[in-house]
Amino acid sequence: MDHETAIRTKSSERYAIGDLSSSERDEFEEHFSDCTQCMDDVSLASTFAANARAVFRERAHARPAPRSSFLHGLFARPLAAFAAIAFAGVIVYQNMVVIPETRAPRSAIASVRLDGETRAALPQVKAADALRVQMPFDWPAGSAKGSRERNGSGEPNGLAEPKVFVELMDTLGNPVSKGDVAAPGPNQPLELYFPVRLSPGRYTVVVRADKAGQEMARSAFEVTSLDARTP
Amino acid sequence: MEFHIFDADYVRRLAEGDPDTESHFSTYFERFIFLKLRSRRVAPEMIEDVRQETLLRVLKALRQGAGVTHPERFGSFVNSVSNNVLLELNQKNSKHAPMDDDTPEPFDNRVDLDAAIITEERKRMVAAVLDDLSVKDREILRLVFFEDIERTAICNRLNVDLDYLRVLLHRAKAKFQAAYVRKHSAVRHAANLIFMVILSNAGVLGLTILVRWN
Repeated sequence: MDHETAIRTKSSERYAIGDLSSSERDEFEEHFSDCTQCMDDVSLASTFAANARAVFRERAHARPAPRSSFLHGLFARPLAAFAAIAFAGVIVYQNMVVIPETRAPRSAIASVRLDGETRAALPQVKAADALRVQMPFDWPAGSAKGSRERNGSGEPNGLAEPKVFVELMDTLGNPVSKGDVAAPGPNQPLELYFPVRLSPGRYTVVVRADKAGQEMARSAFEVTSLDARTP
Repeated sequence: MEFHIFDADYVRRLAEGDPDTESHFSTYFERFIFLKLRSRRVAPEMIEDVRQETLLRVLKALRQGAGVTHPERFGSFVNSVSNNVLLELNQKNSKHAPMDDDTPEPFDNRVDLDAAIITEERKRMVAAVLDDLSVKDREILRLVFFEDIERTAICNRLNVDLDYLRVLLHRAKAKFQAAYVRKHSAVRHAANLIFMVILSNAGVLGLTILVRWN
């Protein structure tokens, strides 16, 4: 085989991909053993072929399986799986911990004074207003909690802050909001804020020493609709 | 036009032990034997054995034997010697009867012969060349290189002829060559530039020292 024939028949490319017959291959090898240009061509074509094979192999392995599920694909990537689990954890935490916490009662500046069950006309709260209430409170005489956690000056003993359990219930006695709040000092009213929107109706606030403990105070109020505003 | 590099003078210098000629001889035919035996999928250890034995026999023939009759075809002579060495080693390694000349060499699929010529840089260049092709042309090359499907089957499947396939391979190879040359000339230019900057800075520093001393 001479050089012109080798070029014309593109022997170097065909040699690199094994496309020559046995006799053609031997003839071409005999030629390029003496021809620097053809040997460079063979070397280049072989290098291209080997690297192209590697590129196609990598791409084939990198391509996702067509029938794999979303979860399979997700967990094939550890970083994405970790991010998804962390995101799901945040959502669960917000729904189970953060949001109920925001709905629990807490101390606040009173806006509506509740005088206990003795008042004839119930205090009224407008449906759109923030539910801030103030109600009388005192530890019952001989209360273990009151005597244990307060010293003679009325200041809390140690770091433990005395708490009471507060529950807001609707007309049927169903709890709307509940939780522990800090107990007020002696001769101080209990100030509460309920971060809930109430529909019109009668509601009752019950204060207990703890969740299943003795009832210490009870007051009722009425939520009026916006249309029922009094001048 | 032929690109022969061998002549009587080359063979004489090699026979006399000229170091530069010996170095060229070793490099050139090491590459030739690698390409030749790689196309036959011979195991790397076997390639090394064939290479050493071939070069040894050729030098022995030049220095102690009858030499070569056609110095301008010295490459063909080395090729013939390598064929004989390969055949002998195959027979020696085989427990069976000698094979006919027409029997194809057994492939050893356990070894990755491509590993020696695959690099990350080359893969990037090849990937760029492939991405520059049309979808159909890329698919043809994928079938050729990766799926290793018969050429005629590829041509039938994608409705092209064998010439088209060869031209496509030729163009892809030429693009790869151009990218390779461009990359290496850029590296060479950058190295030259850095060298010139260092040299000029050294010159300025030297002049400054001389002026201060005087």
